[in-house]
Amino acid sequence: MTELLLNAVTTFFTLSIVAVAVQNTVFARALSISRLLSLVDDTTSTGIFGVLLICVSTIGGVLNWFANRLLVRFVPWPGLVRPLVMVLCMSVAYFLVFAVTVKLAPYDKIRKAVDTLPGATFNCAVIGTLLLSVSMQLDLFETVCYTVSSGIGYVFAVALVTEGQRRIQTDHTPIAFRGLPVTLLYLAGLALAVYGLSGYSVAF
Amino acid sequence: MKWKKWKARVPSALALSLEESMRRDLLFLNNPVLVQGLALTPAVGVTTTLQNALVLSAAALLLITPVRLIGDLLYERIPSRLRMLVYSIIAALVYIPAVIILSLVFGAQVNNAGIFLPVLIVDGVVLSRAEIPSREGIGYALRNGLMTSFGVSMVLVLTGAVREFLGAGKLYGVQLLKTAPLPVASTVAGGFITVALFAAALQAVANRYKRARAGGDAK
Repeated sequence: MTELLLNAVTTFFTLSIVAVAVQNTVFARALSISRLLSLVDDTTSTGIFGVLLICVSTIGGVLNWFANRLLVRFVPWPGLVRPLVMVLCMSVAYFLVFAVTVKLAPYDKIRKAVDTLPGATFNCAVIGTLLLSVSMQLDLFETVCYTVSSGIGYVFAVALVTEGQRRIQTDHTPIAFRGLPVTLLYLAGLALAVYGLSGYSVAF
Repeated sequence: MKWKKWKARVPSALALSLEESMRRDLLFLNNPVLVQGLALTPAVGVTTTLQNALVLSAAALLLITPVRLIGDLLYERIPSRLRMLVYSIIAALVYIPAVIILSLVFGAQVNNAGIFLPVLIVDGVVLSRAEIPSREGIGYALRNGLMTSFGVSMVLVLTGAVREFLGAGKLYGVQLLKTAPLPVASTVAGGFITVALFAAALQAVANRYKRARAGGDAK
């Protein structure tokens, strides 16, 4: 029993480090940058977005794990319909999270969350995590760990970029670089820092 | 005489206000990638070679316009809260024939795009229309869809060519230099830097254009 628990904890921490830092959805894979850029301008919805994204990607990941087993067994070209199946899994997760959110509190209090939910569900970070969990051939427990950690990693990236915005969007920045270009350069700096963890071999 | 009549009927690009002409110009002044910040995932993540860039450009051409057209046809029948969901399902359905066509044209090269090809179906460049609370009409959907596709493709191809040359010393797989001038260009960080420099260059040109237009309008 203890060994089983220790194995589970080790798996969780290993996948968490992989998903949050070493293979961060933003810095290592450049997933959902457009959504991230829209979030850094609106700091109040970042937390709500993060919670919703983690919920949707975890539920979607679990559903997709079961769907993928059926897909591989019964469909001759699973790669062609896999994105459609993933979108359908994300849609079911969307309805589940929507139903739970609406049940939890009156509509006027959760309006922001309800408005944020479509963007938190249908984005590159969620589908990218589902695709990666399939390509890494993770089991059900690993899928849950990976999807939760990837969501945390994405929120971590949003927080880092939001903090960075206050320092880079100043009058000292050349006019041509203000806005999108300087934010992308900042993301490049953070991506280079991630190579310090994952390692980068120069292909000479 | 005929020319004058025609000119009076058709609004010329110069007669448009600066904001309107910038909004309509999806190739340069309002480029989806370099100005609006859409489709950054494929632009940064996978355009390490010109071949990958061409595959993704073709995918963008095959996905963006059909999704926009079908979405516009169904627009008023879809509740606003479900619009992104429906657009995503449309994109995932359009993706199936699109990948078959891409496989026929590019063969095994399609596999090099990895997860970034299916990821395109929920990218902002495909779904952004679902977030706008008004229908654009079939004509505008076709025009804007094509312009957006060409705007995205132009940036992807340019980024792919520059990154392949800097990151591997090659162009479309042909070795041009013995050593890669800047190997970091083939990483995600290099992708961010390349796109950032293109965006800055475009912003500088757009600022000059705006100043010139503002000066011209004042006269």
